[in-house]
Formats: sequence, structure tokens, C-alpha cells
Amino acid sequence: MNKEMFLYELDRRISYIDIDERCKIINFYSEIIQDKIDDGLSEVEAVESLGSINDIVNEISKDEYSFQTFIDKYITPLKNIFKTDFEEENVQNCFEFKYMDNLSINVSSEKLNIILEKSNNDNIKVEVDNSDASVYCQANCIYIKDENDSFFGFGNKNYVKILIPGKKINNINLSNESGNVEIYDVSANIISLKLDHGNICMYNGVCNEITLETEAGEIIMNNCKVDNGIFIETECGNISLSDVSSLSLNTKTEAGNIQLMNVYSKDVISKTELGNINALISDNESNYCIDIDVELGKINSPLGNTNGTNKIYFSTELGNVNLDFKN
Amino acid sequence: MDIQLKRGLLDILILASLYKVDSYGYKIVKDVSLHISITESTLYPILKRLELNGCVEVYTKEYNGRLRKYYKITHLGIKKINDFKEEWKEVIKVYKYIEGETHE
Repeated sequence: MNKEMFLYELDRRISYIDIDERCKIINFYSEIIQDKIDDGLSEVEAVESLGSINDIVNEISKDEYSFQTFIDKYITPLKNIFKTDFEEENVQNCFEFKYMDNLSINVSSEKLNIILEKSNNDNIKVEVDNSDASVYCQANCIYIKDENDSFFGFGNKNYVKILIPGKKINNINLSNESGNVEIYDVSANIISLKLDHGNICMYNGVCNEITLETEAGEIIMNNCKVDNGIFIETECGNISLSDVSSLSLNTKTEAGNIQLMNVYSKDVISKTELGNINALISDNESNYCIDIDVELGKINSPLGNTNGTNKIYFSTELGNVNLDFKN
Repeated sequence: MDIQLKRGLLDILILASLYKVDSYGYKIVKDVSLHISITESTLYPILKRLELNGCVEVYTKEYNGRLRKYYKITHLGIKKINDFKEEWKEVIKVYKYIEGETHE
């Protein structure tokens, strides 16, 4: 069988799959066949080496299961089987604080990479690597200050890691000059991050309000739930949100692209000057009043509903806008 | 071995293969199948799952006049591998204990 016949037959057999996913699958196999041909196989040999279309279709149609379920079911229960203690990593400075109600966290740093993660007990742990940071607790707030100005160059590995218990904490304020911020599995009231040069990544977060600002950096949010509002601003970076929900969502960048994948919000504003806006909103198109301003680019969007109670406003000067809806 | 466990382990193995360097479909199968039994058809759903979970991101790059899809590990993917390594240490402890007790 040659490549064209193979891809045609495969496409026919998976016609029950929606077109975007189907295209991805066909492209995947088409690319592999071409790679095998470049590697020296003939077209027929390359196609045969993929096995039977039956087997391929079976693999594709196997029951979906979640990677997170695998982690939850098999990996997480492995914690602490043994009573013997783990050897603690050799960390320069390690501070531990007991959890208190309305706890806030305030970090002001020049050059540290900041990581927030979930603690496996009820204490807050702060690990600072190789730095003269001062860490102390005052009036229900943990302060971490690092005024170390020495030039580390790019690729600086110095970090502060803050482990926070699963309980909801009050406010998180981070200000950093050059260093990245990564936040995992954290539940808080108000989160506010201000960076000069640095990327911001937030995964599995829950909060009431969040403001993320950076001048030269990328901003990524994945699987986050915000009650009130998200406000994101960057100058030269891309903004990428996926599986995020918030009452209001305001994203602004000058030279970057904005990507909103599986995002739910009642009031969406996205502005960029040079970049593109790509959005897939998890709601019905008929709920939205849509307003899109583009100077030189193209608009690809459904019409929406002028009586819609939810709002979308997108604007870009040089880029394109792609908007789609999914229930 | 439970089929879900096996699939999950394959997911982590593929993720680990992307730790040091980005790669593309054909190359991933070629490199990884030296060590574990994997084919193109088993690889596709794994990559799809890793992308859906934010562990891997995809970008296209031109090669020989055509577009090729590259897979790149994300911060979240790196974290998942580190978490897995940390927890799996317990399994190694269990094995060592059993070996110690049953050693002739």
C-alpha cells in the first residue's frame, strides 16, 4: 500500500473523530512515513512498518484515561511506606513556620528564581539556596527578602522554594527583578506578582484574584480556577492560558501572542499590539456579545449574540484573531 | 501488571526521553524502542495525553521543505518526573528490603 492510500484508509476508519483531532493523527503518521523514507525506506516499506491499520485504530480508540489518575492512584500512595527517615537534601538555609490563619507570604527579590509548591505537612517551609536572603515571620506574614545584587548572568540557578500546606492562605505578593516564578498547587486569596525580567508559570491554582505582571517574560496559566478576576500584563512576552476559569479575564501584551485554550470567563478582554489572539472559550457562543478590533490582520470568529450577557473584547494592530467556542 | 500502571509508566518514560532534548515522532520511537517496546501507534496516544496534561508542548519547525512537529517538555513535565522519582524511591526501598530478607 502506498502513502496516499494508507492515509486515505486511516482517515476513513477514524471518521468518527472530530476533524481537528483527525488532522493531528493523519499529520502524525504522514510525517513519520516521510521520515522513514528520508531514512532510506521505500514508500511501501515505510507504510508496512507502521503495522496494520486495525491495530492503529484500536490504539486510538482505547478508553481514555487520565495521567493525573495514574499519579493519584499509583504514585501518590507510595509516600511514606517506610518509617525510616528520608535523608534531607543538603540545603543551605531552611526555615520552617507553623501554619496560622490568614497567613500571607511576601517575597521581594532581585535575582532569585521563586518556586511555590505544596507542602506535605501543615508547616510552611522556606528553602533558600546559596543566598543571603532574610526570612522571618511578622504579623501573620512570612517575609522573604533578598537584596543580593551581584550579577549572576542568565541561567542563574539560585532559588527560593516555598512549600505551603494545602489550606488556603491569604495573600501572596512577589516582586522580582530577574528570575522566574513557578507556582504549583496553591490555594490563596489574592495573588500578585510583579517581575522585570522573568517568566511566570502557574499550575493548578485556586484564588480569588490574581495579577501577573512582567516586562520581558512569558506568562503561562494551566488548570486554574479564579473567583473574581485575572489581570495579566506583559510587554514582550506571550500569554498562554489553558483550562482556566475566572469571572473576569484581562490579558494585555505589546509584542506577544495571547492564547486562551478552554477558558471560561464572563468578561474577556485581550489586547495585543503586534501579536495574534487565539481563543477557544468553553461556553456557548450565544451567551457572548463579541467585539473585535483588528487593524491589519484577519478575524476568524463567529458572530456571537448582541444581547449576550457575557462579553468578549479582542484587539490587535498587526496580528490575527481566531475565536471559537466549545460547550 | 495492571494495564493502567503500565500505560502510566510508559507516559513517564516518554516524558523522561524528552528531558534533555526536544524530539519528534519518528525519532522518539527510534530512540526509545532501543530500551522499551514501543511503536508509532502506541506513541501517538501517549504524546496526546502528555500534551493534554500540560507536560509537553508542541511546536513546528521546518525541515527539508516540510513542517515537522517537535515535542518539548514543560516545567510541569519536569516537576512530574521529579515527583515520580521522589515517590518511586519508596518502591526501591521495598524491593531492597525484600531482597535483603530473602537473600540466600
